[in-house]
Amino acid sequence: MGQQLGIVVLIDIPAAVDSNTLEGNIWLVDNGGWDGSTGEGSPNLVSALDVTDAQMDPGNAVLNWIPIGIGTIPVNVPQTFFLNDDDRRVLRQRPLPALHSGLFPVRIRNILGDEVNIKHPEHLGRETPRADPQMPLSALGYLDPGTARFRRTGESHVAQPGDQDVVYYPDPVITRIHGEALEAGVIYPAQYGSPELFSRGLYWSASVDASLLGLYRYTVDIALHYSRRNAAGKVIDDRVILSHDAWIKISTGAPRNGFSADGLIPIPIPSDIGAGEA
Amino acid sequence: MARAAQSVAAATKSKPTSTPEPVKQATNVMAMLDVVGALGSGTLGESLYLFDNNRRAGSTGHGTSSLTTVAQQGDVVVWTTMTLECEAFARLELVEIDVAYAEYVHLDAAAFSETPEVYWFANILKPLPETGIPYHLSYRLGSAPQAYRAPVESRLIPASGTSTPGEAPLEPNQEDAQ
Amino acid sequence: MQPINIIVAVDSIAALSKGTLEENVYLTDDNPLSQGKATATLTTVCAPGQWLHWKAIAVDVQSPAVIAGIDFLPHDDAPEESGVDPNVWRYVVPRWRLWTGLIPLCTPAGRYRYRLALQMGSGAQSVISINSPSIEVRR
Repeated sequence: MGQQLGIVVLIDIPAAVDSNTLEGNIWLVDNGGWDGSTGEGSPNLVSALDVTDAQMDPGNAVLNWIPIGIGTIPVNVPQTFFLNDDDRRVLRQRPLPALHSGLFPVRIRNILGDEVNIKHPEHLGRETPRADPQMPLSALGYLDPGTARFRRTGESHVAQPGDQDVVYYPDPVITRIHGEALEAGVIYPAQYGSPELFSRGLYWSASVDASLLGLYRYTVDIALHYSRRNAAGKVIDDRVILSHDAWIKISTGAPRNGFSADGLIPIPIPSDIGAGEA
Repeated sequence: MARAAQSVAAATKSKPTSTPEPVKQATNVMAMLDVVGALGSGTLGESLYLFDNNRRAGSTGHGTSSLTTVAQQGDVVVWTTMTLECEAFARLELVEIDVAYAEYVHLDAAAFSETPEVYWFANILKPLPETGIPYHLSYRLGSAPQAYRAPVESRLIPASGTSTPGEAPLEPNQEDAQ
Repeated sequence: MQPINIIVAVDSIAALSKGTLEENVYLTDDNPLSQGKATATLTTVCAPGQWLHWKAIAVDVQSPAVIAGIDFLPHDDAPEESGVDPNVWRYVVPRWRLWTGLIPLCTPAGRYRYRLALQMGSGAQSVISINSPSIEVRR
């Protein structure tokens, strides 16, 4: 039950699709740098797992892979951003704390200490968001005639001259994890559903057999989706599946007496009583 | 947050220009922040990883805390934020560009409609100077009271005059292999 | 005798943001006699000869939290405090989530406070300690 390792896979999708390779267009970062992972921010990541505790605390170590396309909508954007008009109208109603001001506090602070007024929340818009040419990542449009594109529903849409739809590549989806680490029985990956809308609501997670020490390689197959005009000028959805290798290193230290560097007595006791064994 | 809040208000209430100019290209500079690493060491030094999607035009420094992004007149550069620990909080507080470069860029901040997710953007008004425009990024992390500023600068540079297919920008092996 | 499991739940990000474990750490155990559960001032009731297991859990599963040290205070009346410990070098490496200790059979009854140090990450300010939890030995 230790820290779950999250491996973020960042891909420059248009470049990868154009050159039909992930080489030079992919970077990996994980949150195990403090415990020995190397290659952070590079294509060659070695995720380190220290399983010294696993003998006494047999909660499995867990790996999570999060594929992200550079230039896609940030994953922190909440789902309210993707609401259709009916749901958006429901959101605009006065929130409960404002209706029952005697029961709820109407002034709260966010994590940074900024005051947020619940009665008039600034972040809830009054009307449907407009197409804003300054916000190309919102999928709400900037003028870019000619190229096929997605709308934020993920389906392709035929572009017309003057069309405000944006060039948008959805987040990549991992289709398969395989390789030496699986064959050796070190990791057991599976695809899970998440409430997030990104990557089609799917992510991969693996539990680790902590008894197998060593350096193991695994291969990730990633699907990059896009729309393209074919020779007849018709927009077709397509995808390309590209592979990339990464490593996982499992090591262990020796359990030691951490209570005191010298002596066996963790609790100070009066000197006239004989010393016990720790 | 005051400046960003004003910019959010400005962006949603009234547009700065009446007719939107067509944007040639939108380049996303995405910052990946290791919030625990930054808070635990007291600095952003090794906990900031920058990426952009303009490698084809010659951007370099992907995966490091100092990114050099190619941007041309008519482009917009959009800075977004992501945290390595997905539940941790981080907000781009400031893109610090010296006022000497004010004639080259129109810099502002906004939030994705109806969300607290902040992004900064810069419209490139004229061709950038040869040496480029240096900038520093500052972030609010977790519930720490002060902002964390990137110790190393990043840069917006103009496209190089010669970009033949065999040139360095598209060689993946030599570049980001470290 | 049953061993006692002490869970140390810590909000790593908040602790690192504020530089203190006060209000960011929640200790609890499975002995019904213990006092101060789910606070930083847990008093675990135990008996001589009993095993105690301390286990650190980060509230955010993607953030790290391991116990760097458990040191018993020489006096019970030191002021309660919490802060970043800059002497990262004095802690045993590697750090672990699970610590186990045995109360010696001859321990006199009484309350013994200890300083709990948690390490969250590997930076210079990643070790934060708090000295308000305690154990109470009853014979």
